[in-house]
Amino acid sequence: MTVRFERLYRIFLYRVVDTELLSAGSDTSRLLGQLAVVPVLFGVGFAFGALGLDQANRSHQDTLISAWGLEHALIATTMLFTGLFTVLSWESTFPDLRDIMVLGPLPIEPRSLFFAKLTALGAAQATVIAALNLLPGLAWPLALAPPSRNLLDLILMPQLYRSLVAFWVTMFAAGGFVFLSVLAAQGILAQLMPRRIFLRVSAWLQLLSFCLFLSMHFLQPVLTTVAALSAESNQHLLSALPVYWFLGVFQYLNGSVHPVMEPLAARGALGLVIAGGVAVILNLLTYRRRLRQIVEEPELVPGATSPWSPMFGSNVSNAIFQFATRTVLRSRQHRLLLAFYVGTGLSTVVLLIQTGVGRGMLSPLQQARTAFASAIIVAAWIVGVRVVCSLPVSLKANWVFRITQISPAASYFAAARYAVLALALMPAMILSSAVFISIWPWENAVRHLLVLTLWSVIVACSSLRGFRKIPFTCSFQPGKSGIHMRLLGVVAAVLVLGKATAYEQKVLQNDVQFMRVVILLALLAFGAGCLALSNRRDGEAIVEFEDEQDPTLQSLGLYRDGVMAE
Amino acid sequence: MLELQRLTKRFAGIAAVEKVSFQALAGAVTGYLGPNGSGKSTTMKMITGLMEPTSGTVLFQGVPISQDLLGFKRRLGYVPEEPHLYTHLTGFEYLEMVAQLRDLPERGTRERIEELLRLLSLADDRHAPISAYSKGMRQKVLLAAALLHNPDLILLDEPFSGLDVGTSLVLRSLIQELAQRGKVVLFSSHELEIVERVCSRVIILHRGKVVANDTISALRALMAAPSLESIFAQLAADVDAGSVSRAIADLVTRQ
Repeated sequence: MTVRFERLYRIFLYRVVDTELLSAGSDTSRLLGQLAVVPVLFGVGFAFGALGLDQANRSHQDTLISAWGLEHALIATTMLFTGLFTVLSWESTFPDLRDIMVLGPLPIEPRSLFFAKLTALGAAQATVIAALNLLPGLAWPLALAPPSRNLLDLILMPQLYRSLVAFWVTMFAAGGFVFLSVLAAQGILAQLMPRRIFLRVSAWLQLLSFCLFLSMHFLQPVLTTVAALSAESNQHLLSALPVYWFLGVFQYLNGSVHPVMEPLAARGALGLVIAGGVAVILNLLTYRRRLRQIVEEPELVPGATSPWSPMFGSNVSNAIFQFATRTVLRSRQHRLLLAFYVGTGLSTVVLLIQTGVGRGMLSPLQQARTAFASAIIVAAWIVGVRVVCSLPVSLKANWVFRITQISPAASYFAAARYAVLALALMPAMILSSAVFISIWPWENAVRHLLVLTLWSVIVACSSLRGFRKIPFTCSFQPGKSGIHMRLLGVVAAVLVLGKATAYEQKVLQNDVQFMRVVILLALLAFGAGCLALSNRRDGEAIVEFEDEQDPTLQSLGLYRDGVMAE
Repeated sequence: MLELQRLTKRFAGIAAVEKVSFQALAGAVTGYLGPNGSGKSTTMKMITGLMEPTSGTVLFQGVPISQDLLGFKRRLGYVPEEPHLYTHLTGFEYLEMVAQLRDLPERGTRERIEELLRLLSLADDRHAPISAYSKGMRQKVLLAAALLHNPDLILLDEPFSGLDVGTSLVLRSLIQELAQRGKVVLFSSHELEIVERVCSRVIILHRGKVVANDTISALRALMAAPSLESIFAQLAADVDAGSVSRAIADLVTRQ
């Protein structure tokens, strides 16, 4: 690797994460560490799954076949993580104007830029794959090795090393296939469309890809028995689902190939070569043209005034609400994160309804399932809006809010909370109303919408306690959100919600019982609203622009001008 | 009147601005000069309340700004050194947001924004996102945002940066016009020629300390210097321009 290529590669690698969003006191490694925890945690589950394979009462060949289900899940999860990460770093594929202005005047070939970008993105992807498979990558080869008398036998067994190589090659090939496929899709679109249209369309394609990866992961059928894989009726499906191709690749490389796996393995290898070839050739062809277009095309196009400017109470409230709405609508980064939450909500619903947990928890009525789905998706949207509002859009531009702060901080807190509430509740309720009024009898729809509104207010107000920021203006401190503990809370809430929606459907036709439910929810919503919107401690608080980490050690404040007082 | 009394800012014990005291009078344009890193922008940020001084006081109309910071901000217009803006908003939307945050009456404000944008030659691009604006256009948006509410104190930190000749001429006259209408104008720039034409008084800062504070004519007489540039060179320039430029040329042409 030449020094120049290495420099370029490093520049692009660090640009994959947008560090400008972070607080002044935080560091990128902390954010990366926090992000890496999620795949590692998933990996722990898969590692335990492998170690739990029962080898005692069956032949080695049967054990290998019984592991197909878990192998399929692991490959699918690897592909999902890679897919989501590739979509998140969608904009990093091509250099932006800043890259061109800095690197353009230097004597660097476009293909060097392209390969440095590709290597940097590939390295970031490889890190995600490695984090997810860190523990399974050790546990699986051990679990799939033939039975041995002692540890020494196991260590000296060639099959162990073959499994190790097969495992890692398969995982990187599966992840690489997804990564290269997305790059190939980008290359095709870039060839077909003018740059301006490509930029406009790619924002929506990113959202679409996000939903596609999530639904592919959760909705694809599990065909991991010999009978299912050999069935004539499943062959079309198998040839269209890449997860099975790489399941075949693993079996082939591991030497445990069953006749049904052979065509799948061949398809996997071919798919990888085609995706790689198309991605490299098309992007290489596009790159030179794209670099020129970035500089040459006029950035300034005459715009039109927006047809509707929403008004929302006082001047400060208007400013904050309009700023928040425009940011959500125009910032791709924020929109994508929101899509992630909604997609996760949607997938949770599908998963719960598909699995035994969902069937046991919900009433068999289709209506109850729909009610349950609406409650989860609306909650996911609200939580997504709350999280997205905490991520800044441009920290350096915050000075304008500080300079123009001519009203007490409490009025800003109120305006910010109302803005987040409106952003969270309005779209959720408008969409829910449209859906339920069109699919349910109107009386049931209205009753459910009343319950759903109260539920939404409870979720939204609960998420706003202590919110003292103007949306999209405060720096982000990784680790402060305590996301891991909150995840447990969400799991518990989902389980309770299943019971609650089933009960709601039961009392929907009973006026007295329904009124009782509504009154209870209204009281809860009122309480949550009071707590969120009239915080007593707001009086002495200031508007937060820096998300500071609580100190591990409390300082006594004996410093002055950076020097310890004597 | 804006008055700074022994204003000091230290970062990790190192003084960026040290015991800076001066007055900027209403009806006059006060120039605030100094080489890069002399503490000009730090002073500006302390005056705006964006940065808290380590010690010292900023007074406006005889009252410490810390006593009623919100009230002070109502009367302040500020053009920062760097054109940091929310680039996903259009020029019009940005100014509308600033007007709302400043609690300007809805009636008449839109017209005022439209008119300001027209006078600054931004009317055609007012509904295009700021991300597409050139540096000069962004500077114009900042200028419009600073003047929108008819402030009593106007702080201009490098306001000519990126402006075309025509707009520079307009801004130069505008600064004088605003001062004549009773505003306090504190103006920081590296364009010494413009400062010489526009400012009635200059303060020269060097390594965080005030090294000159007088009218330009008095400084000329005192230092026997023909221009502000030569006064500046004597007081604040650390290097001999001729010898440095020769050294650079020698270095880059060396085989």
